[in-house]
Amino acid sequence: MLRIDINLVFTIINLLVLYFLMKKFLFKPVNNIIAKREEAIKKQFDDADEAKKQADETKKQYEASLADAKEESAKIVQEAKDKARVEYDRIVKSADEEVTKRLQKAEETIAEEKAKSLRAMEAEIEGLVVAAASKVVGEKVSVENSQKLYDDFLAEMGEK
Amino acid sequence: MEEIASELKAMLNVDTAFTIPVLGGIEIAESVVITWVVMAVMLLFAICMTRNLKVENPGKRQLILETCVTGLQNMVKGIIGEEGKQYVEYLVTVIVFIGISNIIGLFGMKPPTKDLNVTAGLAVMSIILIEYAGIHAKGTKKWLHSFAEPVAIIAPLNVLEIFIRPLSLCMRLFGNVLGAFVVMELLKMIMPAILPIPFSLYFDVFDGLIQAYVFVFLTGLFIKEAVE
Repeated sequence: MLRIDINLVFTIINLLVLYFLMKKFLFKPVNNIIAKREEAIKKQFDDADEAKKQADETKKQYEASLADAKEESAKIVQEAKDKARVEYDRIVKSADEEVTKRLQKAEETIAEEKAKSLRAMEAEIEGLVVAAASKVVGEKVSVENSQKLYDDFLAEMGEK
Repeated sequence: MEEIASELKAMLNVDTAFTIPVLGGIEIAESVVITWVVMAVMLLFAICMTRNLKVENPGKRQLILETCVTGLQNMVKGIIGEEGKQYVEYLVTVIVFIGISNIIGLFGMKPPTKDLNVTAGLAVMSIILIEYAGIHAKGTKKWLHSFAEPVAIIAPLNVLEIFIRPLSLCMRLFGNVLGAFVVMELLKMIMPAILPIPFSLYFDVFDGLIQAYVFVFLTGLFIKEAVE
């Protein structure tokens, strides 16, 4: 019933053969595929990390450029405002100058006109005075006399 | 009664399947032939299951295979620890082999583990592996020294363990399977239908798988002890 013979050796050979067969056909492919999958998963995680890092960087850059742009626009607006202010000042100043000039010219004209009319009036009055005087003094009065009379009169008037 | 006894004896006997006519005739036992069957089944299973494995989107077949293989590997790794990683594959092979051998009675074949040759072969392989692991992990000097630990006086006992361990492994498996086989044969003689079902579930399936686990568990434990 109990026998131990050469079959023990066969069993050991069988076991060794089975072990190597299993190793080649079962464990190697299965463990291989699992290792490969783990590697792939690890790679995906790494890729995701990389992508996130890149996205963060891009975001930072974008934010920085946005801030730059804001600053730039503020600067441009400020510049435009400054320029406008200068232009405004210039225009207002030139307008003022113009006005002043015109006013001056008008005043000059008025003064001139006034002087002119004054002279005309003087001439008129002179004529009138001469006429009146000649009427009062009579026909005898010569031109020199009347001229003298007129001057006296004027002097008298001016003194008054 | 005589009849039953002789019939049982005939069943228990390990027949010679065939004789190779060299060197005065090498008798190949039935158990070895059934071992070949088990090996063929395992090999076919392995080849069929590992065809076109995919890294991404594994099919149901591959998922089942991966779960089984990694589950068994993790179980054995749990026993043996990180240091004995290279022995995991052998132990998984052995647990599957003994498991299939023990429950092959369900398919009407005599379990090969009922033959002392097979269990002895397994046990010899185990003790070789245990001592090899010890030498590999510690080096020959330290390995020899480990026999005199913790005190030199128990060295004979430690040396004796080299023989006791495989003997107990071999006899435990052999006794369990033989006992289960005898009980099942007796039950089948009493009543061939219905009655053997619950007993078969216990003796063939439960006890068979437990013994496979115990064998590998103890071997793993001894290896762990040897490599520490």
